[in-house]
Amino acid sequence: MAILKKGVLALMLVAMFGFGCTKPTNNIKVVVDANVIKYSAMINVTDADDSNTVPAGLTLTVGGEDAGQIYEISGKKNFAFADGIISIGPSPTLVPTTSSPVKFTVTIAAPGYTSITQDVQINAGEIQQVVSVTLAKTGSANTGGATVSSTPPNTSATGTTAVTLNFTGTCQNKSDFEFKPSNYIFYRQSGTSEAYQYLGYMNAGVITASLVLGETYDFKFVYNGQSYIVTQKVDETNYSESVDMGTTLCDTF
Amino acid sequence: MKRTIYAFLGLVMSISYAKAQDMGKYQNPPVHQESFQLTTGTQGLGAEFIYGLSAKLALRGGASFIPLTVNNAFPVSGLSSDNTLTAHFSNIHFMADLTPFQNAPFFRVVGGAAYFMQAKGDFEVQPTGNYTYGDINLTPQEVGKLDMNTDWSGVAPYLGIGLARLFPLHRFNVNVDLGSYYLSQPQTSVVGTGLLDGNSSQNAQFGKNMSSYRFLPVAQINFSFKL
Repeated sequence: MAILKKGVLALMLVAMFGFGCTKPTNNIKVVVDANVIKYSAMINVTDADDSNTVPAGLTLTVGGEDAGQIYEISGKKNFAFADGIISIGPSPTLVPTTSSPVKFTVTIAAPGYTSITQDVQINAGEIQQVVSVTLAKTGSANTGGATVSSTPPNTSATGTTAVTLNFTGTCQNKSDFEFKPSNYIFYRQSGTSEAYQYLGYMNAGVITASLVLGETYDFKFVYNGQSYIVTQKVDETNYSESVDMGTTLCDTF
Repeated sequence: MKRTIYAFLGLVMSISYAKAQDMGKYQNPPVHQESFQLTTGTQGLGAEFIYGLSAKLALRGGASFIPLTVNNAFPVSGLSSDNTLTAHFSNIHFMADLTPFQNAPFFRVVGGAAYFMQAKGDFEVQPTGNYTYGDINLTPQEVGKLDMNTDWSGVAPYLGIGLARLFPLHRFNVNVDLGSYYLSQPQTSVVGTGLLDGNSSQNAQFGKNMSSYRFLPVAQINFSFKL
């Protein structure tokens, strides 16, 4: 019976598709939403003496009661910085509740700097938070420190316009595969050496932010110790951005 | 496969030709004759009532349906998955059979239309096995599933040919329909869940790809009973 059913169906499909000009799957991609680690903290480290400088050789160690279930936002246990930025969070099986928030510590160190250990707590409903860390050089009069913010930056200002950016990651080794990044994104005016500023969190590749029309921006996000940068001149209010994600991240699936 | 089809068609036509030799013995054309036939073929199972309107023209009306579900009919390359392909087609139809040549009553030109209450093809892909995101093991629910649906419901004209007599010379005969419906412009949807949630963005491309798939060929055997 199963063979008969398959035969009839195959005959019908072959007959129908025989008349079609285009394969039904032509140019269809499998789109994977990378929003696996739904609760996260982005840690942004700069030099306590110069906010435009990122200490070289940064390392991060995770400790505390939930440390075993904390991952880098690519899902790996590799806590590597890129440009002083790393995003980490609990595995999807560890969901913070009102009575049981996720708790862990991060110890950030760099050669020539005084290391710092910061408590991180992720509460129920607190999907994202930003931990801004300054490291002080050994012997510096400045002391390092950390501040935690769970509200996105207010980038709106006179002369800005709400612009929606839709990022899609492509994979060099999987042509039929696309990747929608859910991650913290930074920006700066293109062609400058200014430090990147935090723009906000893009969910499934999409973020709406206040930008100046006519300006050209570099947008950056970090996965697994690697920066991904897209440059876009902003003249309109909607852009679809394609990002070459290489192979490393694509192979995580 | 081709040989089988040719042999079958040859058999049907020879039977029809042989029967045509006796047509003088019987009423021909079959004015006011009535028959009922059960149908089976690419549009599924069905039934039709036929009425001889004039010397060359007969009308028929009927319904057919095809509910098919096939598991793992097609493997999806690069994705460890179970898939289910379902086709649900049901229609009511009205046809006119024109016998253009008096000396060839076994050959008919058939035209008409159907209203497809249902004309859906659904392909559901459910990833299986162990999927990981980095070092994190994902459950099938977290990975999600993908549904690609196409709906051609609506009115569809039909054109084809009929082989063998529409009305049995005696109580029963077998005849064949070959033709095609021209279906409505298909409505498509791509729906994903879990990590595959973002695949709705592929619907525009899927709809574009499917826009040319509007012919539903009919290869149908009819078992006809004189009333």
